Amino acid sequence: MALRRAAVQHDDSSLVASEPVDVQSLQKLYEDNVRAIYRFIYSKVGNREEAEDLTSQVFMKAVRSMDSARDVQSIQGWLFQVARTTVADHWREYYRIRADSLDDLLADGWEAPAEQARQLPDEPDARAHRILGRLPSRYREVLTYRFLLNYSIKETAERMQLTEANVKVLQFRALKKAAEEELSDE
Amino acid sequence: MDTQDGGDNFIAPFDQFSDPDDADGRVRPEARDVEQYVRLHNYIESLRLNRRPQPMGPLTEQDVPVYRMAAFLRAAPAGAAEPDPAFLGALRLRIEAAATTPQVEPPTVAAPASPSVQPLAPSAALDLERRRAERRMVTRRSVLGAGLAAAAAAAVGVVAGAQIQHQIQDAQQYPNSNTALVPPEAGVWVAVAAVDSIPVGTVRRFTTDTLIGFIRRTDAGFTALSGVCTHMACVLAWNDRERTYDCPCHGGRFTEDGASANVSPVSYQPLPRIQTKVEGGQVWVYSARGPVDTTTRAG
Repeated sequence: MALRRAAVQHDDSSLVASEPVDVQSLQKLYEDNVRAIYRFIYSKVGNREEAEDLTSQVFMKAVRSMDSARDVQSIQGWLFQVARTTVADHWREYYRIRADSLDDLLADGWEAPAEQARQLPDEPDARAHRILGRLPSRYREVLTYRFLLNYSIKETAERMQLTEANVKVLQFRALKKAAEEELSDE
Repeated sequence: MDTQDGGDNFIAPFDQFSDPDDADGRVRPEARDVEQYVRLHNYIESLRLNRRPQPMGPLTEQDVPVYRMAAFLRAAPAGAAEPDPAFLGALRLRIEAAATTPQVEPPTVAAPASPSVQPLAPSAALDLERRRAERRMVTRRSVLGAGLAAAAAAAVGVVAGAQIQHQIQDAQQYPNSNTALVPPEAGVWVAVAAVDSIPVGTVRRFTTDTLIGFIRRTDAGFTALSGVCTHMACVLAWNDRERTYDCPCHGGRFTEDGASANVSPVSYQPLPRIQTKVEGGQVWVYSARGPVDTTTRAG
């Protein structure tokens, strides 16, 4: 809590002198990490509104509890840990996930925590193509239309010559299959 | 074909959800499955609109990986997960404000919105602390640099809507607390008078592009209140003899501190507080920002 202690213990003149240094390192931490944290969170929630909300929460937590004596590497790792738990808490509260399925979420984040904390997550683009590449062709097709190309149900149905209801079933099954393939890898 | 569902009237609606993978259409999904497909579909559609999905009831262990895969694929295309520069600018300001506000006293119930909302300061000691915090705001601006501050300020104007909404709700929950008229990060400092032009014990009305208010000078310094009656928005007049703000429309009256006066015919909400500071021999007020030109937002 280095920033807070400075506010209480020093007299007025040294407050003004020492503040900009602390603020600058906070600014640097923010600029260096906010985009990566945002992208990571976005890949967990899939929409801008929640990604912005949760990214804000992560950095506000960081301001309140950051110890500026830590080195840069471990702060970055710490930020990603905070991001993971923030997302997990959000899913649990907002989507009312039962506690046992939460372990699954956390397990994904806690795998080799020290290493994973230092590395940025894989480029989502490459990983997505790998996942889709292993699916049966109709599953791959529907997911490509719906997610990579962002087509509506109607557009997808037209291109695949299915009813809209069929597409809804197909996208569900495709996602389920893709998730199973990923899980069986880990 | 399949009569297990129990009657012809079941076949037609389920027919549209027949398994597209099964050529002879023998497998019929149950009602529970239809619900799942619809629920997932709604989730995916929210993501496509970049909106927070509606809460959809408890997700089971089987559901979770499916939804997470949907979120992941949504983020996968190059550029899909890029943050909005306006969001980044606004968050940066919030963080700096949180970092530079001292927490000398614990946050009060009356100001739950953010750490940089300053509590009402009846004592001189707290007033001094408030002036220190205001000086720190100057330091922060000089660190940012004028150009970046302007770009960030423009960005905040666009994105601040959601935050202001929160603070409006908070203000309405605590009507007796003299909440701040202009939320932090939503306003701009405007100089309204020379310090020397306002003797101790006097009240002066001021006008900015967006506000009408009154500045009052006491031994402890300057305070300011909104000059608009909280009843039906008539402009108040300062009554120097009675030391009240009087409303010409319905006889409403407020004390010097902005509270509804006892002699007022009706009890009105207190006048919102406007932040002040003294700099360069001028008295400044924290006024609302005028309309923002969004077409020139810097990245």
